[in-house]
Amino acid sequence: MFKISNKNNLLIGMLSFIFACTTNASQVDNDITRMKSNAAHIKSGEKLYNAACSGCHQKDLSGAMGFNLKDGEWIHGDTASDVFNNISNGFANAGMPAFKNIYSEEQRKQITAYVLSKREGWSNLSYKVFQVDTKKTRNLNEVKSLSPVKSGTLKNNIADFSMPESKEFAVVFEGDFYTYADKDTVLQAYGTQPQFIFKVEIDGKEVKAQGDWSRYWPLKRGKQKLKFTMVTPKKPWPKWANTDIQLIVTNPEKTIKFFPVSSRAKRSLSGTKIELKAENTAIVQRKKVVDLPPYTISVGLPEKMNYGFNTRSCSITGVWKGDLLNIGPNVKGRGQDGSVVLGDWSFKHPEQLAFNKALNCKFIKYTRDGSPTFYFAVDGVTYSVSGYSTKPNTLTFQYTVIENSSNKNVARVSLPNSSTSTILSNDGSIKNSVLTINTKQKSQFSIQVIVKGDE
Amino acid sequence: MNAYNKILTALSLSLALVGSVNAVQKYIPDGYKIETIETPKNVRFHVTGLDTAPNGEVVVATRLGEVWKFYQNKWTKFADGLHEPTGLLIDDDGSILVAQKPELTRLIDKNNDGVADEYVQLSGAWNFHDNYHEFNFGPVKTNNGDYIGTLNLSHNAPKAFSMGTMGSSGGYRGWAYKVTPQGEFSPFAYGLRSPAGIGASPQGELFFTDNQGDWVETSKLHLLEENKFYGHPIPLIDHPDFTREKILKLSEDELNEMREKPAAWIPHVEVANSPGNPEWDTSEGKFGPFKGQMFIGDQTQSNIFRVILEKVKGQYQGAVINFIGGFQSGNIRADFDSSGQLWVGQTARGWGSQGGKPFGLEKVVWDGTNPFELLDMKLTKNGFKLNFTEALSSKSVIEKHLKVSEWNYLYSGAYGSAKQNVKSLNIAKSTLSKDKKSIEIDIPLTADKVVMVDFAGLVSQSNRKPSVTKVYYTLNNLL
Repeated sequence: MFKISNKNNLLIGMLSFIFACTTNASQVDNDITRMKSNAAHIKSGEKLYNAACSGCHQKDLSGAMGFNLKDGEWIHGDTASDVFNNISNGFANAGMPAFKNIYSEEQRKQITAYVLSKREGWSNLSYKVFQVDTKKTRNLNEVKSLSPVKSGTLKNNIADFSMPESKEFAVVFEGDFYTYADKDTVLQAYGTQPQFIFKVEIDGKEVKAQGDWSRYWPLKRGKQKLKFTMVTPKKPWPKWANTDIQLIVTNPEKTIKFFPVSSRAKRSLSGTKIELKAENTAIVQRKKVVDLPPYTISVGLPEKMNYGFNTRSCSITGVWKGDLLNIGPNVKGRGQDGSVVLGDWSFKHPEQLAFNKALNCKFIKYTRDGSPTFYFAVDGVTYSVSGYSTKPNTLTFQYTVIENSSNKNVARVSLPNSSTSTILSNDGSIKNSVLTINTKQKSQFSIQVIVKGDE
Repeated sequence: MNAYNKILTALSLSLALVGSVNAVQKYIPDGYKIETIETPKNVRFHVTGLDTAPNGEVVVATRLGEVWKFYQNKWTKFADGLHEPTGLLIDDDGSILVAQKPELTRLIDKNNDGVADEYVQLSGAWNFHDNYHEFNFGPVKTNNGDYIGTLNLSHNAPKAFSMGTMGSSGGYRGWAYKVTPQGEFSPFAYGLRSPAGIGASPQGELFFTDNQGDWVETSKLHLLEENKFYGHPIPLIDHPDFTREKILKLSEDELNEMREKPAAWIPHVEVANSPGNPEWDTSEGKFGPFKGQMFIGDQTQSNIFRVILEKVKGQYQGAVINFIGGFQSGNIRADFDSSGQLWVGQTARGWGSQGGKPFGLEKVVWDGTNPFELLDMKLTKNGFKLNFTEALSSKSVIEKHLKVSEWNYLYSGAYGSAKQNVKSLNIAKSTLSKDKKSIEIDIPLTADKVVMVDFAGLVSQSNRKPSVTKVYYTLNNLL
């Protein structure tokens, strides 16, 4: 009896422990799920993350010394309570401290909510592979009547189209899917041919494909259920057509590849993160940049203000706050993709800071000793322009008249529209967003771009 | 065998064939070796611009956009932030000209601290549309002091004028251009596709290579002359006499009539897929017996081949023969330094190469040993004269040791051409010269063919075999 009683006591004790843990975990999950839809909590979580976690996991959560915290691979579990517990208890062996000693429970939940809000791609991904009849023409209905020859879950949450052992097959990938809550994205299949059959279902509803060769499907924002079906056509197909397809989430314009969704895409996007950040001196970089026109030279200042000078129009074609560029997409492979700015736009082309009559501008040179300075001639007058930042969130363009032998007395500069910045000048007069300067009286004038909002 | 198995068999056979063709080919003449230069650590060092100064300093431009100097075994960075340069020239005043995609730029170190402080636009008068294939190759300097460069067509550019593969959005894509020292731009010649290599001969004549593809049957070497058309129809959209409609109506025969013949066809895969710049051995013997010959690297095959030209009926034509195979990466730039070493700039990014490394810099040096190789090949009234670097073993010079064949290519918008009308040619007579260094062969020749002589059976007096045994002669004209 004693033993039994003892055992009973132990059992009761264990049960209540498990019950307590479950209740606790589910409470944590509920709390964090709620916080994920609260902008204030996310903002706080972001600040805490940037202060405590970004050193090892990177500001963009892409991982360095610590794991990638936005992809589908979660060694220690990906539920809210898993992540919360890992933050709380740390991994002493791996050098990660226990943050329960540093941050309050609410703060740790905020960090968890922020991290989970950044999740990209599949979770709980399952797959089914079907052997198709090589003699028949293909259609989607065929899949319905077949039993899978292989099925299971994929721990890394990346669709692997190289799994089927036969050349002709059908495959279905299905799971929860995360993309950005604050911007539109599309799912794009690269390197296929029109005969490949695809079906994409989001939250149970079929989404129509767009494009013929590299087809793409608009995604919902945030979390959704995504089911992706592919049926190969009958062979032979062209030698360049590959059943191991690249699935990538991009912006709707398809100029920025955000993250890979299939294993071949993951390989092709590896090495596309080469970030240029001005630390002590300015960086000048001439690359193809998404959203900036050809001939733009990008300049990054250590004060985290950046701009683009265009050698064809002699205009400032963009200003952004943050770091300069990720040039990875432009120096990987053949370099088809543009570099991506690492910050928030004050304005970008076609909004620009442009001299009237700039069509006849002649770019001369730029200098790198000291602050990068661009020299050009417009309407018979030679100018230089240099961007500098002495106040936080402010970029000042200093224009100097270098030569005005034709005695031109008026220069007009169109100012860009910006919802995020104020653009002004203490020189000359501004009317209808055009700054007019008397170039005979003023050999120097400046234009400020001041980012609104941030302290 | 059912249809499925047939396809499988055909596929495996073709894969096996591709495999054997693509195996890394290593060959090197006696006395030569390849030395690998250590490039700066953790720097993407795809060398696509290369020049050497009289004092031995090597200056390179990289695809990442940097310019580095190598002097007394030390690297220093001279400039950065350029837009994928694919050419570099040390100018007479010591400034450095770089051909970057949107611009021909002069880099000047005003304060002599070893770093460029002025990036001066010499010219950017052509149009660049941010397409990845819109390379700017060059420059070379003419005897008049002008600079010549070549502009690649675009690929997959939206809205570009294209007839299938390469395209142009206008602004002299597919043209060679001239820029005066004052920066005045003028279009120079047209009909170029992917003209990745340009060079000026010791006599000041300009030559360029173009890569195999649409309207380029196999890679080729041309003499570059002003106002001439080199075969790709797309660049005609910038010519005042043409419109899109007119171009689309031109037949292949009409285009063929308009275009220049190359000085040398470069057989695809066997010699090159994507040749770089021609470079001449002016070392007066410091680099071995191939004095005055042209050396060109290939990005895909990771090799260097020689070109031996002669003038027949006033036009250049001649032989192409592999020289060294087995470099570490894709050879896109070549330059002889003042001591007769051949420097080779390398990249494989995006297009791949036989050598497995993504980038690098190597040089070829010669130790004074006379190699046993084909020295040159000249057209005669009745066939060819083949000169060797060492006397041949008399026994080896019998007709059965020489095999001769000919073919031509089909000019069209298709991507490259297979060999057409391949035919073996019978040697009517072969004669060994008194010094045993030359063979004259009599064979029936017809113009507008590539003639290949395979001399695999030949052995030298000292019982050596040549490292390369096939030579390809572009026979535009007969004597």
